[in-house]
Amino acid sequence: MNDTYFSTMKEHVLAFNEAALLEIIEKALNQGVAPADIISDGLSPGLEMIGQKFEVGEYFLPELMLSGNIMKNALDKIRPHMLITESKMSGTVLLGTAEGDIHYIGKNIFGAVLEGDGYKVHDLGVDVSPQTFLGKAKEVNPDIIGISALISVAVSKIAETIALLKENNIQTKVIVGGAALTRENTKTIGADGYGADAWQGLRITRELIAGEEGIR
Amino acid sequence: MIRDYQACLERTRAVMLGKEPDRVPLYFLTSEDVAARITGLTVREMISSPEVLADKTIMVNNFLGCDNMALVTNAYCGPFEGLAYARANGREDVFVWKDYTTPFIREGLLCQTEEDIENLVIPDHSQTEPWPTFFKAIKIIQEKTGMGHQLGPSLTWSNVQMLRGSQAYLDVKLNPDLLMKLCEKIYASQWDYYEAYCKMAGQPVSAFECSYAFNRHMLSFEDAWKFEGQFIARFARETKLPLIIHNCGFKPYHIELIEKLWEEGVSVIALNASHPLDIDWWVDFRKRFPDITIMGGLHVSAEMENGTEEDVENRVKAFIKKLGPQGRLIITPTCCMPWRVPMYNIKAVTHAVEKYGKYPIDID
Repeated sequence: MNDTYFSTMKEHVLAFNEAALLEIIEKALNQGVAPADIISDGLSPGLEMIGQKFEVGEYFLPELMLSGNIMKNALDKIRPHMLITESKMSGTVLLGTAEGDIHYIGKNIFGAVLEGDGYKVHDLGVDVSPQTFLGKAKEVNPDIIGISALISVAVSKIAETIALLKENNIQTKVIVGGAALTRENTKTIGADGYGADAWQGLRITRELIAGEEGIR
Repeated sequence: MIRDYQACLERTRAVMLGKEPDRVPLYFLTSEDVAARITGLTVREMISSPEVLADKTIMVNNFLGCDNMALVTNAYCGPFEGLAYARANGREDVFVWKDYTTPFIREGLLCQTEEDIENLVIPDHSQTEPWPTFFKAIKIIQEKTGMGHQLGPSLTWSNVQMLRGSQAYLDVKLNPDLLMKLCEKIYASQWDYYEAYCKMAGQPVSAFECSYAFNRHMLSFEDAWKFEGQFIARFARETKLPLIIHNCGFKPYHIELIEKLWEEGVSVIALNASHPLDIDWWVDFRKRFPDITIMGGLHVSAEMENGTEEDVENRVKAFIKKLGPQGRLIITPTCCMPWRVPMYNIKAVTHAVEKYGKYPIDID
């Protein structure tokens, strides 16, 4: 019975059918299916398949962003049914566009994908100073800090932010992305990981939290 | 330094016609960042009058020693179109000025709702600054040097992103009709830009068209065509201008776009891009499209930003060696040269083109 629920959930995630997904989740919860199982066996495989389709060029940013939103709503529905220990998020990510840059599209799409994968996202918005990143990092103690930049002047500000975090003994891994960043300059500014797109960003987030090597 | 503008023009003309020039032409896509470093002026000072803008544009292009004459305020109807939209809609507060780099509009604020899109006012490009200043500057430059700036429409995606923000990506799936309505408004605005350009700066000979939707990590080709490509084709057909396609994305749909445009009866005369970085990809492209001029060779965030002068020289040398002998090549670091690119590396491009680009090409 549970397998039927899970495979239907996967289908709804892949078809971006939010209403039907929320309905089947409701039904499964009422039937006593464990919330953690719904996430691990129903929702996560669906998101993984979307990621795979993105990687091979079958899906694109609209599908990635849409699935992130749907997954977030599904998780919001499930969480109240979970025990406190079970309902722990995948991790906490602090996001922002570097100081001097006001572009947010890539950051927002990445944020939606992270939330869809169960991360708690603190989005500081755009034009975020190194001091603001530091202050918020002290406050929320994130697992990952993600900084985006579309214009190159902001790359220097990312380097400044990373240096300031280190000076203040913040050990959180920093990942970067955006048109102004490349794998090469990721290394020179001292970041731990680079995501060329939102899905790669999610993968590097998972890997760094799991203690694996960074920069892709 | 006095440049031989006539020689620059003849060099480019020869390449575009498939004839052998005296050397490979060199183009730079200048923008506010590099212009501020060379002129010592802030962006607002540079655009304070048509005369100043024309004077500083000539100064910057002469300093760089390139064969084109790009206005120093970004090559296309993108960031400053954001300012025009902000002004036309009484929302100048959403435009963020910068002293030494390209200013931008805050994304997504002008078209947050369906009503915003419905009520969006299209700028009058012959009246709404900075466009009149830009067009008058182009006219002055033409009179002084005989060289013209490219008409640079932006149909439509960069403007979609500026106006609608990340919501546009959800609209592709959830609200395509609304997104199409916005695209039609942008098309009307770009058409007005073209008409004002013709009236104030003269009839252009080609259009330098930015095709930002055509990147495979962003949209499917079908969606990119639906929300941008069909407007590019429409613009080319209605203006009868041949296209120089510009795409500075990392995963471009170059071949698919050019073939589709050809199917639609649109002539593409040149492709300006940095990616793919593999030179052999461009060799294959040349075989496939022998009549299309390649404008590229360097990516501004690769050797230009992170390499040495020697790296830059070697990249230019390799590109000219493989693609120069057949002609139809213009070396162009792509896209605009941002901060963090050392001036040494910019000058290294000029030196390398002079060193290796003379015809007949004879490298190693």
